[in-house]
Amino acid sequence: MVDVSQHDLVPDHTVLDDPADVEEVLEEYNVKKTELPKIKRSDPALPGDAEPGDVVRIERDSRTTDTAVVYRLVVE
Amino acid sequence: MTDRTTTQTDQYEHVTDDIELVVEDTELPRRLKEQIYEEIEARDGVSVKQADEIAQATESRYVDTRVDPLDPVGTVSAQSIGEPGTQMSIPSDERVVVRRDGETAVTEIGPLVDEILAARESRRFDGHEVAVAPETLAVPSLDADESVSWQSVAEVSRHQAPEELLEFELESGRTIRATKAHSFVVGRDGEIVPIRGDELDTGTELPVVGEFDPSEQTVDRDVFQPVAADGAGVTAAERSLAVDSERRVLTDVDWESIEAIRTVTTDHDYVYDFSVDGLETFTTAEGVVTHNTMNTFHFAGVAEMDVTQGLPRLIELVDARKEPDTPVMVVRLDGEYAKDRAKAHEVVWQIEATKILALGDVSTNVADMRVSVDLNEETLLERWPSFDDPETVAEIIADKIESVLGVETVQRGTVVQFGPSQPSYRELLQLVEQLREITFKGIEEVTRVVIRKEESEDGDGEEFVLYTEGSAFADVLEIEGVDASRTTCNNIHEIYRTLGVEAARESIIDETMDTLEEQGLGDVNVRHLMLVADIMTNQGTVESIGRHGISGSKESVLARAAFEVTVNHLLDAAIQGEVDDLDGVIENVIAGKPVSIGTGDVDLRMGSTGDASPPSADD
Repeated sequence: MVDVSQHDLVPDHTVLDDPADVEEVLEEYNVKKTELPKIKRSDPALPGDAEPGDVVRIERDSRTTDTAVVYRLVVE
Repeated sequence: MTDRTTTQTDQYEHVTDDIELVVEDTELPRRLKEQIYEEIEARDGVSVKQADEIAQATESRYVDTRVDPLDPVGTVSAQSIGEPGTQMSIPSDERVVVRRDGETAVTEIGPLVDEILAARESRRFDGHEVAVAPETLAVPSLDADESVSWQSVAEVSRHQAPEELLEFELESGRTIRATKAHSFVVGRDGEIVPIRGDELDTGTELPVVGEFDPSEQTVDRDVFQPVAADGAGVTAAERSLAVDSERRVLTDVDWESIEAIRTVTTDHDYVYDFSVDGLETFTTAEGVVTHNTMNTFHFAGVAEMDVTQGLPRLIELVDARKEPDTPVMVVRLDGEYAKDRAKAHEVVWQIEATKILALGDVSTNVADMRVSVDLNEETLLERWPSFDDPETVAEIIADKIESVLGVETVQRGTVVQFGPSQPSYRELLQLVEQLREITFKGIEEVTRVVIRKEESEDGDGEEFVLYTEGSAFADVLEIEGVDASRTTCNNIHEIYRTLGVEAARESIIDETMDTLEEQGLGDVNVRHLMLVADIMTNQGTVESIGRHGISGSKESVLARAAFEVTVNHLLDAAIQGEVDDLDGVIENVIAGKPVSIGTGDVDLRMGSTGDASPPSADD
C-alpha cells in the first residue's frame, strides 16, 4: 500500500488530543466545533486514530506565505 | 440510396440487389466493398442475412483500425524541442546529412525544412514554426558511448535569423555556422554534454565524423551507410520503428579542436533546426556533430495530447465533474527508472493497455470457422520483459483468451487459434470483435502513454516522465518504478478518493491556475482561486459550485430561488412555511437592505456619553 502522506499534494495531518488545545482553537476563531471546515473519517490522509468529533490540525506549504495552519472537524 | 447501386454489381452473378444494398450501406471504401462482392461471388452467393453480417463485421473492423492523420500508433518516445526565444539554430544553407526513405543524402537544411513545413500542419511556438518530421527521416546522431548511429528526427523548426551568427573552423578545415545560442556537444569529464555556441573557445574539441576532404568540402558518403549487426539490409519503415531498440552503429566519433571562431551574417531569412531522439544531435555535411535545441515545450513532440483547455476545462473544474473529458496522468518515475530508457519502458508496458492488435496479426478464416492470431515474438518479449521464451508469453495470452471469450484455444508456437462453439458466422465475427477488446497487459483505462524527457526538478539533469491518456490514479501509484509522491492526474475526484480532501483542494488550485495561465490569464491572483477551492472542499468532500453543490445547499430560500429553478424553490418554501432570515448577501440585495459585509458588517449607533466635554485623545 502506498503511503499517502508522502505525496507532494498531501500536507501534515495531526489529531488534537488535548481538549484544551481544541478549546483554544475554537476561541481563536470564535466558532463552535460544528462550524469548522470538515474532513471525512474515511479520508485517506487522516491518521488511523482519528474519530468523528476530533479536530485535526493541518499544516500546509502555502503559496502566499511559508506555512498555513487550518483545522478540520472529523465527521462521520 | 441512389440509383447507381443497382448497376454497379451487374458483373457479379451471385450478388443480388438486396445483398448489394446491404453492402453499399456501409462506410467501407470501394475496394473493400469490391472484395466482399468477389468473396460472395467465389462462394456462389450467400443469403442476405449472411451478407449483412459479413458487411457489418468488415465495417466495424475497418472503422476500428482507422487512424487519424498525424496520429502516432503505439508508444512513441516524444522528444522535446525549442526552448522559447533562445534561437538555437543553424542557417539555411548549412548542409546536413539525412536519410529519407532509405536514401542517404546531403542537403541544405533550409529547403528541406521549408518543404516539410509547407507540406505538413505546422504550429507556431514563441516565434518558431514547428512541424512533425516524416517518420522516415533520420540523421546520424551521437550516442552517449561516443558512437554514431541513425536516429529518427522527431520535429523540424525554423525562425527568423538573428543579426549575427558564429562560424567555427576546426583543425581539419571543417566549418560550421550557427546562432550564438545554438548548442553543440562536447566531451567533459568523460561525459558528453551540451554547451552553448557562444561559450565555445578555440582549443575546445567538437565531435566529428569521418574523413574530411577539404577540396570537396564534404565527408566520404560511405561512412553513412547503415551497418547492421548481422549485415542485413534495413527498410526505412523497420528502422523508424526499431530506432530505439536496435542501433545501427555507423562509426565511432572523433574529436577535433576549434581553430578559429568568427562572427558572420547570413543572407537568408530563417535559421533552422531538427529535434532528434536520444542525445539529440545531428550531423552536418562536413561531419560536425551538432546538438539540437534544448528541453521542454509543453506537450510538443511527435505525439500531441489533446487535453481540454480554456473555458470548458474551467467549467469542468468548477462543476466538480466526476470524469474530465480528457483524463491525463503525469507519472514521474523513481530512481533508475527515471534515468534509464529501457527501465522507463518497462513501466510504460505495465501501464499502457495492451490489446491484441499491438501484439500480432489477427486473421479470420471464415471457411474453417477459425480465428488465428499470429503473435510477434519481438513484441511479446518487449512487453513481458521478465520472460525469455515468447512461447511462454503466448501461453499467457492463450489462457487469457480462453478465460475471457470462453473458447478452447490451440497454440502452436506463437500462433494461437480458436473458433466458435457452433458454426455460426455471427458468433465467429462476434468473437473477433470481443478479442479486439481484451486488454492483455496494463491498465484498461490507459489508452496511450507518451514518454518525455524533461529537466529534473532538483536540477539534477534530465528524467523521463510519462504522460498518459486515460487515468487510473490509484492503480498506477502501486506500480514499481513509479514515484508515488510526485505522480499526479487531472481528475479531481480521483485525487480526492486516493489522497484526501486537502490534496483535492491543492489540485483544484493547480488545475485552475494552469488552465488560466495557458490562456494567457496568469495574472489572476491565486487567492481568488484559493477561495474557490476552499469553499468547494469546505464540507470535507468536493462539492460543485452549482445548484447540486454549494449554491443549492444555502439556507436562504431567496438565494436559491435567485440562482436557478426559481419557482420550485419558492413553491416548496411556501408549502412548508419556511422562514428566510435574510442573513446573506443575495437576499439582502433582493430586499434592498445593506449587506452584512464590509460597511454593513458593523452596526453603528450614535449617542451621547453624558459628559460635558468631549473625550480627549489620551483617553
